[in-house]
Amino acid sequence: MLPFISAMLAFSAVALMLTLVLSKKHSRGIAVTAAFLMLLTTIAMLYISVLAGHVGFTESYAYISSLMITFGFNVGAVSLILLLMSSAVLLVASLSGNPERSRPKTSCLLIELFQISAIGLFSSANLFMFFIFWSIGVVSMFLMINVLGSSNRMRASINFLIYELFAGALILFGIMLIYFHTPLRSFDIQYIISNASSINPTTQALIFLALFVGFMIGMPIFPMHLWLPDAHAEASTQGSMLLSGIFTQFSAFGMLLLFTMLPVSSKYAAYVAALATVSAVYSALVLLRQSDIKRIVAYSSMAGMGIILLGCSASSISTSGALFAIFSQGLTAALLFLAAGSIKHIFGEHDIRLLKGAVVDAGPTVYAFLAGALALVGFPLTTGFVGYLLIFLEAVHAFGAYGAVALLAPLLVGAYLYFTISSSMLSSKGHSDSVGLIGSTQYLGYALLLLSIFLFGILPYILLGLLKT
Amino acid sequence: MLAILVITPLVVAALIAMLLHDRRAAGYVTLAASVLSLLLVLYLLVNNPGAQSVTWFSVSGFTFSIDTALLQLNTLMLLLVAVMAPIVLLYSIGFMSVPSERGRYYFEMCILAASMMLFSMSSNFITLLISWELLSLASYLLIGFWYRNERAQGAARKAIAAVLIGDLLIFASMLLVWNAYGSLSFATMLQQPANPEVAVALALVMIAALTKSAQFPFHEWLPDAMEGPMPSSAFILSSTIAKAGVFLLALMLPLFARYDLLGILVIVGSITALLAVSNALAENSIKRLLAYSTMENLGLMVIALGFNALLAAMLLFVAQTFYTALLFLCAGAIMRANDHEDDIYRLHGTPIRTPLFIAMIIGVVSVAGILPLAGFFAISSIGTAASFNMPVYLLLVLIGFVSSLCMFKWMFVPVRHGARSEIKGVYGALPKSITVPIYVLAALAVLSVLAYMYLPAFLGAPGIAVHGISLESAVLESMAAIAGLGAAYVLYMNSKPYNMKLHLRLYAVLYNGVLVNIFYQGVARAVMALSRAVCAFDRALYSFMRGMAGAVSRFGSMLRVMIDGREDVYVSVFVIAAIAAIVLFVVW
Repeated sequence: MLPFISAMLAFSAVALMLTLVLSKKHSRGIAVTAAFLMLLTTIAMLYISVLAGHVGFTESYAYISSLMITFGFNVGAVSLILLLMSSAVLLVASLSGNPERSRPKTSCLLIELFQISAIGLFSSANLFMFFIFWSIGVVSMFLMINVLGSSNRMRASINFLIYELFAGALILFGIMLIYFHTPLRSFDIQYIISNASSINPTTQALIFLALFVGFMIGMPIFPMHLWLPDAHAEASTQGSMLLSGIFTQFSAFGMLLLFTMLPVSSKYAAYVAALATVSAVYSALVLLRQSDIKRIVAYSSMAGMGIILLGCSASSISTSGALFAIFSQGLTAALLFLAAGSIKHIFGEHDIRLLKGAVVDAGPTVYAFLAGALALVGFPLTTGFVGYLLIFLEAVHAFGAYGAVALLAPLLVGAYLYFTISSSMLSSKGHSDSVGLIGSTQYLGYALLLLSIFLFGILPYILLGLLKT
Repeated sequence: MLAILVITPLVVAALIAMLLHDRRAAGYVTLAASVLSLLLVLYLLVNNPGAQSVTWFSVSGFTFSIDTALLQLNTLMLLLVAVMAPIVLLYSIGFMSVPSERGRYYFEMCILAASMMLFSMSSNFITLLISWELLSLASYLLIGFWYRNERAQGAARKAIAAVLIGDLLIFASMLLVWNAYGSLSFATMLQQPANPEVAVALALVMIAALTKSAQFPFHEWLPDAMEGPMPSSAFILSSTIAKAGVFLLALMLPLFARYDLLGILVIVGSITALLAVSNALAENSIKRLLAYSTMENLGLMVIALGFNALLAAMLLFVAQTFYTALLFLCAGAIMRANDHEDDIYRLHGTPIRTPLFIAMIIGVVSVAGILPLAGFFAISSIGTAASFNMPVYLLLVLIGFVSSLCMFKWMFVPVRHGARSEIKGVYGALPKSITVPIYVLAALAVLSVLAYMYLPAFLGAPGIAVHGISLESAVLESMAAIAGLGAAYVLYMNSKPYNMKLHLRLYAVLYNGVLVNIFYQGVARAVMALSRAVCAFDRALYSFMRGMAGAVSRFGSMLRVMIDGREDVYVSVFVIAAIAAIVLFVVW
């Protein structure tokens, strides 16, 4: 077996160094190449897995032997699906996520750093690695907001950092508790999954609480979501794409892990589901009062995260529902932020009420936005539908009719998006004059994301088949 | 085989989006595809492939499949869609003459056709849901087609609001059915024992179907749907979206009967039909009058279904498809000749004794329910089915009278004495692609009388179908229709026709769509108020968190101030702490 993960990490690191050394006119090319290589590698891994009938890529190198910590990776079906999603988002972000072409070197450096974090986190075999790569992700996201963001970026980035540091501390605390309470003192995820039942229930509850609140902040779930709107509104287009497309999915992945690892978590499933429902509906209601296009996307993707948490809390097939929804959410949120960023660049305006008739000058962008909105609310033939279908089926199975209450969220989000899009961007031309141009790479970006959204929405068994094996 | 029906329009849509754009060919390719579909449907009529199931995806033992079946009802619906599509598309070629709109129009029509084909043959919830939502999307796009027009915008939003509620309800009912039976197929629902959860699910399906077929209180989108292009409105109201709701009700009729839900249908249908005719009396727009007449017809179908009279409902279902489309296309031709004026008091009707006028007469006589056209048989059958329920029966007679009055008003006012026919030439110059579909439809509207003879055998469902027309109901119904004709002749066929708009008080009572709109605005306002409250809470939470952060940093500053370099303070603190430590140690 080829060391795919180390290879991906290695060429991302090489790309990072090359970007540092070479002049800034090469940096975009390097970043795109690195992301493209990552996509190719994941597709190769997917291809091998489909041929072999099972997914299993493990690598392990000695790291801190005295504490039994290895530099280890384990890619199962879940990780592979998430890697595929992140590589697509990363590729589009580095290819077209910077319509302004501002500070290419810095932005490419940060994207490559974030790429390392995404590869490592989704394929980590132990919680130690998970935490390390999580922290790299936090640092690169912080810098992306702080250095590349818009006018109010200082406050937004510090806000983000405080929340994420707090989350990181809780996660670290939870991980340490697990380490000291497993019989063999191990960080290894597989080992923990098979031995977590031997941890006494009180400790388990404590671990659950620490990790849950930590991941809740990262997802984000009400009432820990307050960093999100500012961070999204102030980050650069690339920053928002990576933030909502991949970074928040780190925590969603963590939630999935948490619910798989700790047997005690099933005890709290009903509470978690209630919280998830509240969070989804809450963010949809807050959404109704937003007019900043990036905040609109931010709150609607937060509603999606609530539904993903609902999926995590219910069991079996919904776990794959949650996974599929994470996959979908990553692609969709990235598409929406890309389109929103391009609109902001073209018209120099981010208040949706002032974007009347945007479709006249920016047709493809507006239609991409509309398609993204459809996918976000779970329209059939998009990935969103499959995810929501599985999540809600299992939620109703687990919690009865209460499981369906969260359906209000897609209803409100859908109504609001349809209404605002039709009364602003799709109406007759107002005072919106285009002040900027976007390149063909933008269209390539839309095409790539839309292709994945529809391809896996129409043929979901390509991915779901992996889970079965 | 069935898949081709769905895929062909989608392929054409993709072709238009990628290659053809606004070229003239877009229309011809779409038309060709629809003719192909029609041929295929005719072939399927002979060689019914039966139930088919294609596995879509499966997860840990659960399988989701796209199930299709061609039972009698499915075939009927499919046939109507397949027949209507080429006619409407041919008309579109003449009607959509602005090149820049062509590509988008045919693209959206293809989506509509594909989803309607899939919808007509769906036999499980997954298929139903997919096609249902695609239909919603198509209606949103087509109704808001002229997006530069504020009213089209509003209409599209209204349609999507009704439709989103329907989508949500179908989704929710699917969840309940899955939970109850672990299966999503309609057949299973019939076979399995009754289950209270399924009763709820069916109630939700029923409401969803009512939203689509524009029944009270979701009816307001239908007259507004006239803001879209005329041929698409004709397609939407005659054979696709508005009919989809009725079709779904018919499909689920045995289940509704089993769970005793039919009473709701009678009530809702009656209210809808009554509201429709009252609004039609007050309406002067050539398009919206037809829309209200369609709404009234949909209401009658729902009433018939509520009496479990499937056959009567389906008779009207078939008849309405043709005459509604016919009248819409005529209205389109008239509006085109009058430079898109749509007030019947201001436009000039077609010259009498032209084929177009004869086609109009066929349509109007059929809608009004006058022997010997299809409308008569359908409406009398519904009357017969309702004859044991006196209030509804009388209501039907009243509706029959008013509806006939309104339809003849629609025809008489434009051609009355005094409407100068100086634009005779314009009618003569209508392109063939506009006139031919009208003649074809007129022929079909006449031929649909045959449905009365062949439909019972075709549906072949003994026990459900209440067949036959009682003499009493036929006579009463005819009298009402003829009275309507007479009243219309007296009121409208003169040089100073009666105009309801000039009698404001009566107009206000009859034209009550406004009230429904106010109600919905109230609902929207309530949701927005809730949203405002939640938003205020969100901001409060935000400031609270900032306050907390501020408190932490103030605490830090407080500590910092204590370390200010004054040795006397340091020493006194040290001494106090030492004493305290000793005391503590001793006491311990």
